[in-house]
Amino acid sequence: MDRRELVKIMSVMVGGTIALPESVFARIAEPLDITKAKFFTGKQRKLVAAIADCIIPKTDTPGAVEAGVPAWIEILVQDCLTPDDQKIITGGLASLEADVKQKFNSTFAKLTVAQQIALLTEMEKAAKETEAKNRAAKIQAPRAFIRQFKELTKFCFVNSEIGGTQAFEFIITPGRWDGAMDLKPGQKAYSF
Amino acid sequence: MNLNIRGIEENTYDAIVVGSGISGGWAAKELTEKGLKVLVLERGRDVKHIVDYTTANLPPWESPHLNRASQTQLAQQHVQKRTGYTVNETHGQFFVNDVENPFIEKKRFDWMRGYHKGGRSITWGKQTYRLSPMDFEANSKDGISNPWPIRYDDLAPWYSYVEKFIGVSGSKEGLEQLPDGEFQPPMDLTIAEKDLKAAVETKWKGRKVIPGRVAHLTNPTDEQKALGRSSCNYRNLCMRGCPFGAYFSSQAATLPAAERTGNMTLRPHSVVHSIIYDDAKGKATGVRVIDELTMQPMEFFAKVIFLNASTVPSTGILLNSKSSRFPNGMDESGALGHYLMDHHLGVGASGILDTHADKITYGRRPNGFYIPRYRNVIEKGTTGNYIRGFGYQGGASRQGWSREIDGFGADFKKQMTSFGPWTVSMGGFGECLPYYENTISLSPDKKDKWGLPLIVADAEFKQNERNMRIDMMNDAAEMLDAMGAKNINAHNNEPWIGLGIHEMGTARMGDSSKNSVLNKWNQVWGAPNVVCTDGAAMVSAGCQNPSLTYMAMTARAVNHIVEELKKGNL
Repeated sequence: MDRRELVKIMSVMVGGTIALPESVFARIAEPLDITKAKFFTGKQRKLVAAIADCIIPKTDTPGAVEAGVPAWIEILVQDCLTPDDQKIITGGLASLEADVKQKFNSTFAKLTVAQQIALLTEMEKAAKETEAKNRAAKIQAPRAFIRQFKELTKFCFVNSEIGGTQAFEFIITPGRWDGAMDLKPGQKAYSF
Repeated sequence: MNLNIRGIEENTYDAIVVGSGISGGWAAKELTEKGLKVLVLERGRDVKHIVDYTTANLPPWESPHLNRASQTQLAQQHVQKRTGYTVNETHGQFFVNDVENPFIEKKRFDWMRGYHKGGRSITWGKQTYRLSPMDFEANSKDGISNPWPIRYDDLAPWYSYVEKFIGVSGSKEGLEQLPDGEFQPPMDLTIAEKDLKAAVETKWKGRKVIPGRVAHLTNPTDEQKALGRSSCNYRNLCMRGCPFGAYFSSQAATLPAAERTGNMTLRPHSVVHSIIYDDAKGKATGVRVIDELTMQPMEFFAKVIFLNASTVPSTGILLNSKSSRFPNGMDESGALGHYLMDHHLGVGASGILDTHADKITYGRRPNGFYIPRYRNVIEKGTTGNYIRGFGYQGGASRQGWSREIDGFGADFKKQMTSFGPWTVSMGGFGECLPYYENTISLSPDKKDKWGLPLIVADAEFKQNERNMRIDMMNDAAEMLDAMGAKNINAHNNEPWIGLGIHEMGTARMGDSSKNSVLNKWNQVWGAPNVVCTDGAAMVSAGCQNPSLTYMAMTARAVNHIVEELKKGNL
C-alpha cells in the first residue's frame, strides 16, 4: 500500500475533519537494500536462502525467498544480533553443511525437500529437548542455531512487504474495534 | 537570539512551568487560561503534533531493520531497553539517549525518560484511574510513613474536570476502591474476556473484570474536536504519536489549549539547573537555565514557578536549589529525596483457551481488561500479612504468527499464516510502600555535560511487595483456571524499581514543614510560590496508574495559586 492510499484511508476515517499535512508522510521509505548486507560469504548466502526457503516455501502465496527474507536475515544478523549470537548463526550454518556432507555427501541446497525438512525437524527436536533440560536444571544457555534461525525467518517474512501483505492480512488503520468477529473460512491471520 | 543578555524585564513572566509532559502541559493550560503570561521550559527538543510523528504510518518493511533495534541503538539506549518494548526504530526516538544522560545506580533503577516536548505523555500507557478514598487514608490507617494532607473529596471535582477535557473511555462500576469518572463509551471486552469476567465474578463475589479505563476518545466532545482531536482508529501504534490526536497527550490537547490563549511562550532546549531563592522575600524569584545546545547559562523570572519536570528531575532541581535559607536544597524536613516508590509488576499468568475457534478480533485495541484491587478490600491477602494490594491489566486475543509452531515447510507456513487459539494473560500492578531509605540524591562530584550533578538512585522493593507478589501470581493462575484456560503459565520475575514507569514520591506533600516538602496545595514549605505537582508529590502509591492524579493535582494547585496571587498573598 502506498502512502497516498494511506492518506486517502486516513482522511476517510476522520471524516475529513482533519487536514493531515503531507509532511506526516515525508519520510522516504528505506526499502530493502541488499548492498547494505555485507555479513555472509557467497556460500553462506546460498545456504541461508535454502534454509529460509525450506522453512517458508512458496505455496499459493509467496515464500521466504520471493519476500526477500534471506537479505533481511543478513541485515538483521549483521546489525541487530550480538557477536555471540552472530557466531551461533555462522557456526550453525557451517555445522549444518558439514552434517549434510557427512550423511549425504551433498549440500543442503541439493537435498530433496523431504530430506531438508527431516534434517531441520531433527535439529529442532534436539534443541527443544536441550532447552527443556536446561530449564529444569535452571541453566541459562543461548538458543540453538535452528531456533534462532527459524525465529529470524518468521520475523523477516511477516514484516516484509510481500510476506506481510500477501501471506497475511495487513491493516495499518483498522478504524474500528470488534472483540468477537466471525472468522471467515480460510481467512489469513494478521501480520501487524 | 541570545537571551542571557536581555534585561531582567524581558525574561520575566507571570509564571514559569518546568516541563511540558503530562503535568506540565496541564499547568501551562490552566495558568494561561487564567490569563497569566507563562514561560514553559522544556529541556529537550520540540516535537510538533502530527508533523513530527514521522514514523506514525510506517509499515515494518520501511524501517531499516524491520522496526527491530540495532546493536548500535541498543548501546545508546542501554537503560531504556530494559523494558523490552521501549527501544525500536519507530518509537525509540521518544526515549532518551542513556549515554548522553547518565545517572548512577547504587541499586538497579530502570529509569525510562522522555526528554522532549510532551515528555512521556507521547508514550504513556494511557490507563487512567482515580485513586480512591481508601488510598488517601491508607497511610493514616496503617500508621506508616506520613498521612496525605488531602482526601479524596479534595481531588474528586478536579478528577472530573480533567477527565472531561482529556477524554477517558470506560465503564461505570460503582466500586468504592476505584471511583467512577466522566467516561466516554468503553472499549468492548473480547468474547474470551467476557468468559473470564463471567467466571471470575461468579466464583469470587466482589471481584470484577472491567474494560480498561483509557485516555482515548471514543465519542469526542465539541471541545475535543475544536482542538483537532478525533476518535480512536484502533491502530495501537500510539507510542509513535497519534496523527488523530485520539489519545491524550500534551501535544494533542493541553499545549494547543495553552497556545490558543496567546499567553504561552514555550522554550525547548532549556535545562533547568536550579531555582533562584530570595532569602529576604522568603520566596523564589526565578530559575537558572542552561541552554541544552549552546551551554549558555540564563535566568528567567516569575511570580510563581511550577515544577513539572517528572518525579526524579523535579526532586533533583529542588535538591540543587541551595541558598542560605536552604543549604541542602529546598526542604527543611529531611524528606526530600526519600520515599521513592514505583508499582511493581512482572508477575501474573497466561493460558490458552480451546473455545471460540470461529471468532476473531478486528482492529488493535490500545487497551484490555482491568481487574480492580480486591485484596485487603473485600478479601484479605493470603501471604505474609502484607498490607495494600494490586490490580491486574490483561487481555485475551487470538494468537498469531509469533506463537511457537513446530515443523518446517508448507504445513508450518499454513499454520503460521492462520489464526492460533485464543490466549489470555494478565499482569499485576502492585502498590509499593513509601520507605525512607529508598532515595534519589545528587552525586557530590560527578556532573553531566550541562554541569548538573548526576542523579544517584538507591532504592528497592521490600518484603511487603515480595509477599504480595505470591498472591499476585497465584490469584492470576486461579482466575485463568476458573475460566477453563489450559497450559497455564504463572510467572513472578525479579522486580526492579523504575520498570513500572510510575516512579513517584521523593518530595512528598504533608501537613507540616517538619515532615514533608510540599503543603496540601503542593507549595514548597518556605517557598510558597514554588509548586510541584508531578509524581514527586505523592505520599503513597495506590496500585492505580497515577497520571490522572498528577493532572488533577495540577489543575487544583493552579486554581489555588491564582487565587492566592489575586489576594496578593504571593
